Amino acid sequence: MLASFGEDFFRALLQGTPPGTVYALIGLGFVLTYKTSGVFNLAFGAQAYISAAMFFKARQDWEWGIVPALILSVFVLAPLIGLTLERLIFRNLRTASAVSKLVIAIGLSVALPALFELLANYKPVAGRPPTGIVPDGGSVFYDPFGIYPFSRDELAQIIVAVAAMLLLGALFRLTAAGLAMRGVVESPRMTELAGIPADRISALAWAISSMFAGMAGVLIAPRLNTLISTDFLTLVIIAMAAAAVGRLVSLPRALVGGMALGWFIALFNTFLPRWSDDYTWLKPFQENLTPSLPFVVLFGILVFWPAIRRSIDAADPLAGVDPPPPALASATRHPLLTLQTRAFGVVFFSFIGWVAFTQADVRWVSLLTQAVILATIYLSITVITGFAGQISLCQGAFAAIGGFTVFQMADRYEMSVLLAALIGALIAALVGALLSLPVLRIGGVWLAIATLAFAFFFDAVMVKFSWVGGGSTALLTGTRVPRPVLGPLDFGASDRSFLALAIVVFVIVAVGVIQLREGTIGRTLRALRGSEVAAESIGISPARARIIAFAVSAFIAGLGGAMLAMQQKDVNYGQNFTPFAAMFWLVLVVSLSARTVEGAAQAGAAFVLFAPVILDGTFLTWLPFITEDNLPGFFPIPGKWRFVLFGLTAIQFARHPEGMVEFGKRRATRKRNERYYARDAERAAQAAAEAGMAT
Amino acid sequence: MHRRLQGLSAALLVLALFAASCGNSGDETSTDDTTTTTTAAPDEGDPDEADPDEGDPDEGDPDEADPDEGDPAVDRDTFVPLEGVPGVTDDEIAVAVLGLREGNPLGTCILDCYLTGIEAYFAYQNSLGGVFGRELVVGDVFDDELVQHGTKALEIIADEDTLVTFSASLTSTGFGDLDAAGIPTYNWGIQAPQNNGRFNTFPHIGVLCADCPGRAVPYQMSLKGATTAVSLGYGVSPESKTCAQTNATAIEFYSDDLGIEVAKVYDELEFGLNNGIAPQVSEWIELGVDFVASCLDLNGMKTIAEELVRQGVRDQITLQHPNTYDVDFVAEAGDLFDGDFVAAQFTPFEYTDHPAIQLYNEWVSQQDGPTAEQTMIGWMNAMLFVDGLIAAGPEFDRNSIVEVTNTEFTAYTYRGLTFPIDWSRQHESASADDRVTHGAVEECTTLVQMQGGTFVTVTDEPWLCWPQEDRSWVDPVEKTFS
Repeated sequence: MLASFGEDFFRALLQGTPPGTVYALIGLGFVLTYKTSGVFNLAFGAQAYISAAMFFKARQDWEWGIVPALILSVFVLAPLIGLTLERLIFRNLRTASAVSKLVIAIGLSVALPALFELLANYKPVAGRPPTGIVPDGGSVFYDPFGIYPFSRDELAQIIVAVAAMLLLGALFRLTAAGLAMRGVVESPRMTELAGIPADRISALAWAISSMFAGMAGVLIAPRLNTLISTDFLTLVIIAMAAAAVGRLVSLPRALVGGMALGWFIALFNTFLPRWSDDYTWLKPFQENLTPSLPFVVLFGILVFWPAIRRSIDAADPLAGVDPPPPALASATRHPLLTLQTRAFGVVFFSFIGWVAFTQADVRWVSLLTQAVILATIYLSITVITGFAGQISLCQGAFAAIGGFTVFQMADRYEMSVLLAALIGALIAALVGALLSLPVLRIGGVWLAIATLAFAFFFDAVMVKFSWVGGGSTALLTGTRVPRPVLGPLDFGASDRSFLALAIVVFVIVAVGVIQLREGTIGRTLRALRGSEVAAESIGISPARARIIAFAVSAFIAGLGGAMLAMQQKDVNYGQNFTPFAAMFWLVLVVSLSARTVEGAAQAGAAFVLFAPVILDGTFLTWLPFITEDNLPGFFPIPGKWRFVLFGLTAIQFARHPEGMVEFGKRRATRKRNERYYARDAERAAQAAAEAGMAT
Repeated sequence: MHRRLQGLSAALLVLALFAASCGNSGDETSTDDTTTTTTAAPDEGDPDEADPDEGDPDEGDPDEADPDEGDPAVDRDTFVPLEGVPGVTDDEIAVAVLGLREGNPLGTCILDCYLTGIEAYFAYQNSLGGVFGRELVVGDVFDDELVQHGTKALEIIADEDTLVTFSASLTSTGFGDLDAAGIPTYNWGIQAPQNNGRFNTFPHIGVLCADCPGRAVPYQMSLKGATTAVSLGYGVSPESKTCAQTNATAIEFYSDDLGIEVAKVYDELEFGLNNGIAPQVSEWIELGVDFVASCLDLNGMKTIAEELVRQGVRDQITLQHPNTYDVDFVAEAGDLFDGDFVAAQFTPFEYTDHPAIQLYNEWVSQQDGPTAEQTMIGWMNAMLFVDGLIAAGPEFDRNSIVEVTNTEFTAYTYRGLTFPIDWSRQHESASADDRVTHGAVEECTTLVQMQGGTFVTVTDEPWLCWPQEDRSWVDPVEKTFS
């Protein structure tokens, strides 16, 4: 019995080693990039994918040998990408917060694979497996213990992971360049004062970390049956637990963390199914934890490991000398400009309203409605990120709670969907508040990762419960949702009437958000953003403020999710609310403007309308003499460009952390303010002169 | 802050009370004021009173037509000018095609292959002189990029310049709007919930029943002499999870008859099998498993097969593949899948003597198209549309096409490419308790095996059928439909 247990245990360890090595490689990559650049590089997977795809293309399409393909993909292309990213993006971000860098990395994780596929004309094909860097890597096995064999590819992965840990450790500990890299991350200004060329050191760091990403990609690829970028992103998210074990600074711990994750999952899959046959109370744990184990582990590490709470983001000690961010443009506007802006707003929205309610066809009414509803959901990001300064990557889960509640209440109890929407929003608020409790003590990038882990847990476990996702009902008819009726108003009778309802909801929420910003809660959150210690010293409770921010934000997201389900007459979870969609939302909102209602509104419009209006060339058909038939040949622009442009938007965030919308408003406001205030001064002087003459 | 929260609570309470007095719209299907809804639901008579000959493909079925010549009995040449029929001019009948090209997480050929099948069938029909004096053409092609099915469907509705829509994607969020707009939508019918109860929507093999235990898997086990099975499904997908349970139920149901059993059900596997499947395979070896009933995608199946090779039991365990009827994929795999079973959703390509396959091969090869599952689905969808169009007569419109299909096509076999489908009943899903009201007359499946990177036939005839109502075990009857 014991011998059998021991053998099973050892076999599980061996079986967990190949996936564990993959996680270790990615975990090492996270640590390497963070140590050398201060970036929690979610784009690591994208960089790894590009090198893997380049290697694959060179080997299979161009029939190159292993060595030249490896040189091209890992030692030329990968560092080139790293140097480009450093020069164009991250050099300007050295003193930015880790959270800002995370947002840009999310944007790059989407944009880079799309750009590569467009430029290299690479298209994944099912069943064409990538080959590794050793001949017959997938077909020749070695069984050193006579229990479980490893392929040559897997042995290569293990050797490279251990060698990388040793070499990189030596680089950081024993070389001047390694020390300089860490110094540049800590404070580029101080290292420059010491005569160290921060730019060159930073470029070197990015070249090395990108090369490692490339090597990891080529090594990992043979594990995949089809070389697709999303698989790399999934692996990166799973491997975050390894990076968390390493606290983003320890290479050996990241290596052990990755291996341990692989072993833990293998042990879990070996023993829990057997034990749950004997002990039925274990069955629910087995069923629900199996698909979500990496995220549960990650969440557990972040919440319960004190070392994580003590770790702080890399921050420039000289950042304190930076001036505080300027006030919102709207707060410094000349009264006349405010009047003009509002007048323009009235005219503009009247025109849009006239078009929407009298001219637009079913497609545009639907798109506009969706844009308004998404803008409502994005207001939840305005609250949690714009006001509270916290990055939440689980807004999609909160929105889904609203959508599923409406579906369940309408399906089971034939409840009014409007009432159900409110209940859904309240449930989301409750979940948001509960989620905020365990993550109260962690902040910055770790909070973002904890919320991402929750989002994936919701995705992998919660959605499949029949009392959430519908179970057998959903199997039969999906998650269909009716439209509401309000007194004599039947919002199911026409899409335009539902658009009107969506606008009303958006306006109510927007007014609430503005009130929140201007009220005590908003001021409290602003104080906490400025200095948590100072805020505490004047009696503000950070915990209470955070719980409120999470609850309000989740309430808004839940309400928006319920509205989206009503609009689409179906929850459509897979298309609307997945963690990847929520990451997309966040990047878009903070890139445009996370602190204003206008930012959320424009993000909603951009998310929904950019492709049909711009990429499809529709805006040109609004001009005279241009119709769909004589549009330039490059329209519609391929959808992949949308991802590339999305990445460019995120990059703009590097230059304008206040958001592109707010940046534009400030620039426009400054010029006009100067003119108006000069005129005011002139008039005042004239009046004073006239008054002087009169006396 | 406290007062504000109180105010907010009061406002929410008022809103809640107001909402509580309200209800839900009964018109779930309306799309817009400007859109006419023409849902042609067939009458649901008592199935017991149905014409006993209804299932006979020879009875009043457009399939009666010679596929090479068209149906001489039906007038398909009469030209009648039509006004106000979307997509129809004096010269052309245009259709829309909506599918997945960019962002396919499986890396398989979907939209392009599907489109080729439709174009090949249209080319064949146009070679016969078109229909009612008009050429059949593909008007607009939309790539839904995985997440835009609903949006693109609305574009089709708004454009109103195509007669019908063809759809092949991994998502189908636009089916509700298309159906509500009265647009006949022919599709790759893998999404039962989105097709169920929609009478303008024509999944290629009728609406699937996700939880109806069938006899195909137990039969495959008996054919292989296997006795002990595991059943696999992804936890994240309700369809896959239910499918795994259904396969297990089926095996247990015929356990005494065939001497087979289920050792274990794994219906909670993580999508993509990122962590591999090594511990599970080790457990199968301990349990003496010799058959794997699966509800996984083709990439997942390859991961399993490779792990079986690694642990040295590939020869001892047979895999049942639900989604691996992909010539290129299997060719790339070489001998990895040798001896495994695949069930195609139509008469397999390997029955090269079948007239419908010959016709398909002739016209698809003229389009330089691949021998692919999606190409065949496109071909079949186009065939049903054209047959409905011809049956509707020269003064056709969307409504009449749907109407005639739903009332007259009661044993439609796509000229022998499938078992008979009764479109007067099969727009709704059958259930495990009642397979008759909305199910096929017979339970039929195809079966091919993989050998050396190719597919080979297992039986002389392409279809194996069992009686639907009597669930006791009998050996299947081999059939060829025509």
